[in-house]
Amino acid sequence: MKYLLLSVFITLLSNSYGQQGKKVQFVGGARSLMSNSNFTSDPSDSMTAPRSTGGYALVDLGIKINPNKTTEILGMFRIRNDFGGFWGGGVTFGVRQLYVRGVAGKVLRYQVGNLDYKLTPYTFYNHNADILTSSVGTMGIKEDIFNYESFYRENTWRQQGASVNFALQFPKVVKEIEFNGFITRMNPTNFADIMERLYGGGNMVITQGKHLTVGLNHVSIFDLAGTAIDSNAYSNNVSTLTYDVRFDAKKFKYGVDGESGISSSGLSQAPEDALNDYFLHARAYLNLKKKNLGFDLGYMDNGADFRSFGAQSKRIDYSQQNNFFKRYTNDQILRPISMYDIYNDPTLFSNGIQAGVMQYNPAVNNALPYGLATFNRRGGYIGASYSDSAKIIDASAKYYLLNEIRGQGTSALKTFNYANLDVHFSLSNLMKWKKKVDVHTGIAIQKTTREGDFTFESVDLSSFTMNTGFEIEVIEKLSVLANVFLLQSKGSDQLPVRDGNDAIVNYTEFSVDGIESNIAGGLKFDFSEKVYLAAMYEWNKNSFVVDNPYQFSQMSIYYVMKF
Amino acid sequence: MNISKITYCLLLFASCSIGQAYGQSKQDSSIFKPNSGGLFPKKYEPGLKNISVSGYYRFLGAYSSMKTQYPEMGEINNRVFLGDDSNLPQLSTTITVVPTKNTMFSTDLYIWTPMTGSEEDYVQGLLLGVNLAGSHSTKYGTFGVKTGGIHWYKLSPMTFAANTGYNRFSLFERNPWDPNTRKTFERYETFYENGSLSQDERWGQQAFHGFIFEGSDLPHGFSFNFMQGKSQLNGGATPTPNNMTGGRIAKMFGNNSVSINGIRSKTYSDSLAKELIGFNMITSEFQVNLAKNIKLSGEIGAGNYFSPTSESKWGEAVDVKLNFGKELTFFPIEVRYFQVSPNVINNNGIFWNTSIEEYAPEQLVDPLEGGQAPLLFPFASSLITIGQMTNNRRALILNTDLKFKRHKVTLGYSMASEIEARSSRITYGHPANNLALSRFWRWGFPTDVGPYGNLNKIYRGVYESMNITDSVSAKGFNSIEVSYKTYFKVFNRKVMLFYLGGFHTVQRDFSVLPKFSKESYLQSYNHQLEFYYELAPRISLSNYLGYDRIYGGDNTEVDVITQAPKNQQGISYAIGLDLQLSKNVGLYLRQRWMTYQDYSFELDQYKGSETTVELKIFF
Repeated sequence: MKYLLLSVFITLLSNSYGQQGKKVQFVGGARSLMSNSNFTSDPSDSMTAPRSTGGYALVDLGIKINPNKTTEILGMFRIRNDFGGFWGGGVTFGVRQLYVRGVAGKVLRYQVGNLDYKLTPYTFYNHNADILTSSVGTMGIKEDIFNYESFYRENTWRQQGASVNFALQFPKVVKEIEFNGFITRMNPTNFADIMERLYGGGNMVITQGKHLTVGLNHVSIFDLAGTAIDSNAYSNNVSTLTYDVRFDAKKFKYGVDGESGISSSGLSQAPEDALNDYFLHARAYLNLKKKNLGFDLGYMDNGADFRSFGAQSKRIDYSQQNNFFKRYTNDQILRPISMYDIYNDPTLFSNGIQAGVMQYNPAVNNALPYGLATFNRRGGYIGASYSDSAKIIDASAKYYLLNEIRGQGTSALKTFNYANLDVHFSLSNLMKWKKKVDVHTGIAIQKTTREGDFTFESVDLSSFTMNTGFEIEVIEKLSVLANVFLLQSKGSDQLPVRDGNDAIVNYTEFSVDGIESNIAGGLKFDFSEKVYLAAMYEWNKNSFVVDNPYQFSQMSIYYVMKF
Repeated sequence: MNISKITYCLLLFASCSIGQAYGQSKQDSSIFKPNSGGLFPKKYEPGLKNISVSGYYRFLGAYSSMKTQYPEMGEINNRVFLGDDSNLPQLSTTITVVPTKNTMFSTDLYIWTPMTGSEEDYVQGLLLGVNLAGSHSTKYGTFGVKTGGIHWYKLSPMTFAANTGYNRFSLFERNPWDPNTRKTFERYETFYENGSLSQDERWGQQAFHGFIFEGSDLPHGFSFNFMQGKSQLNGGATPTPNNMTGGRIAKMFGNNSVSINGIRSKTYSDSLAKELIGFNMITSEFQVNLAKNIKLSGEIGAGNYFSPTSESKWGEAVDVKLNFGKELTFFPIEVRYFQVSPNVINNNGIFWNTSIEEYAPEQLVDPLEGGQAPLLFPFASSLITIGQMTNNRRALILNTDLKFKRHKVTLGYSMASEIEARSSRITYGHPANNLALSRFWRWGFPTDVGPYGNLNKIYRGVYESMNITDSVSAKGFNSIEVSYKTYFKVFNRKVMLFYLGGFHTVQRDFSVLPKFSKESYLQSYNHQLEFYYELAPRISLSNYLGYDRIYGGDNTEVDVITQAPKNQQGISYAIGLDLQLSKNVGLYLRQRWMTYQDYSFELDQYKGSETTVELKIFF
């Protein structure tokens, strides 16, 4: 055992166990929201109630129990009280999470129950394909809420199952080998046509030293044969290799990293219909240390039949109906999910992965609707970033030029141009003020084109998204917030229509010419880093439903506590 | 594990957690790092060490045995009832979490069972819901915010508050919100000494659900309160707005104060939320020391009611008190005048609605969900106790407190009249058996019950309505109320003796003096005598004798058989024991024998007994 050092996996536990006698702790949060909205569409609309109030107060109370020094149990209850419910009306009780974790034999770290997990961008990863992240301003508050509600943290997915983790460290040749394994349950059987579906996998990460790290990864979604009458079992297997070769010179740092692998997906009784494909993704990067500049240049080739639903599941399923002014006009048409809904309604977000190709909104992201794991994309990208040591500016930009690998209903291929920019500017750091003055803007521009001999082959879709937030601390702990959000999209595309087995059965024209704008202002008072009160007013205009544009205003009050 | 190992662990896992959540426009320089996966979070997230849990357990059981009862009660004469009205829970807990020194949130949780013998017959829920609060002190003042579930709150008496009256009430029957005292007899001694009981936070306050923002200790003696949300009358979780907005700006001038208070309640009568229904009220509350022993206080304002069919006329609301100290007049005197226009309504204030019929309640978008309504239904012309106010009424009230050695007397006299002739009905209560009578009908608040369909149950009480037979007039009301308290010793232990008397008349017109004759529409006399004896330091014996007599006048409804107006008599005798089982644990036993009869209306009579057992534990 002299050469084998046990890496320690009990960071989570060690701190708590270091505090003798504290066997029970409490974690969670509380939040209240009150809102008042005023909706306007066609003046002749006599069917839609234009005014709406709503809100809730909820508390998540987690009891963290340490029965011994190496075991922790967490059970978290949720009590929710809808706005308007008096004397117990509108109250719901629920369990938000439950897990047990610990360290077995001082070597193996395990967790059973709820897991927040990820592996690599092409195997198991929660890509954020639809939201322009803005941690500043009113949108930052909304992101804070839906990330909390959906358990989105560091691109993980919330799963139910078990995981193990251990590592070995060596004195020579290889510095460390780390092993991660998990098995989660995606759905139970109904004993008829739905089998027990599990999702499992893991990786082995070999860190050679300061220059090389290599990972072997495998994940699999699979039906457990014999758990239902139906024996046509589904599986989606993905095996990849991740690597990072890096060098650190005095003035700069450079390297190559990436991921490549294969996937297979299909039903056991129809092996001829199985989808098998591969992907390649390689990136070279260069960081100029003194100038705080970074550059990267990448190439990706994601096969048309590459399927990895642990990485291709979207946070938002666009086939849902929204909950806020769901129908409008005299015909009571459904109001499609807008960006406003995405920012305001955490119930629209998925809490787990889904085996199948999910719908997306081409107006929001047509180039990489499933993040970097989007299938049927080939091309390159170039990026740059700057982050100064005084934390005045933190900026990054990236440009993708991608093509389809396989034509959709035609042999002609779509071309995707996608540029994005993210800038965080701190005036307070520049001026060395104590009070915070921050601006954060994110911009995304996309253009999809396809040329062909036939009219239906012609595709020309462009979109522009901008999210700019301001946060100005006017007096101690009290900040003025503002946000301007804009989504503009125009053009048309041909989108595949898929059947229940994800096979393309038809194509439909997607045509859009609309703008959604959201202007918001408000105040925020920080009682502490984890407790704040905010009031905001926002105006939203949406013309994506061409004949039925609408607008509304909303006043909201948030009170958020975490502990 | 020693410190170096912990540090090592932290460094190891921090190295695994460099990756962040990025949107599509953010660069993720670590996205392909092979060792960035696994279980999250990588860092330990400590929690709070303590949360507090408080609350109470209250068991209430009742057994009634009736020899004579209302025909609608059927043939069953003996009833066991476990629980209290409105599903008041047996176990109520409040969980309070304090994340920072100036913020907190709490939620209550109750468990209730009717003890039917079924293992599944349990109810759990929240009463007040999830409450969040925070405060922040600055050099400009202290600012606070409250949101979430139900907060007990008060603005000013006429805008948002509950009536506290003049503390002329019986102690014999315990209320659900009554606390346990350190010693059982302390409850009665305190009432004797202070003329009042210590109450919980609900006393004098109204339930509010929404957002409260308040500032105190502001420069120049200013303070403010702002509230947006729902009172009990705006309840219901439908998206159609049904809200109230209230506020108060106050300023102190030494010991004097003045404030401006406002409240607006609104909802919509149609599904498109275009036809408003609700009320407004704005007042000024003040307290001024005119001279060393003369204090002027009160509230003056105006309000209106609006609906698609009402004229939204504004009316006045005045409640002024002039208090003279005993140094000036030998005994303290309070002269009070109130006048509330029939156009003014606010069921969140201390006055009842007797004038405004609610706009077509069945047409409301959310009609009476959960027993809620934008307005309470009018009580007709109510015979009220001194201190209670109604709209469509003006009154002059005199109050005084007298003390002669061990003898304490509070006296009240009220002469009042309606402002407009609006109702041909008079409503009144039966003090001697009021609570026991309300327990005839469980689980709900039925109206128009009783053998003649003229009884209406409210929370812990019943009122009866009586029709007048001549033309409708602006009726006059006169009341005399007496409360007497004294104590003496028997076998060297204290006996507290409390007497409560009420003498009321309702007549066709205003009268300075009560008219104790058939000329009055109604005469109501009641006496309640109570003895409390300290048997032992932890045991008190309680006794109650109640008697009420109510007469209908010449121009009131008569029985079809006897052709005589109401002629009612209620008698009640009760005995009880208060036992302190241990610290914060009290057991209260009550046995009541009651009889009631209307000598004119044959079916209106009952006779029987009621036994109650209450076990109350605070923690």
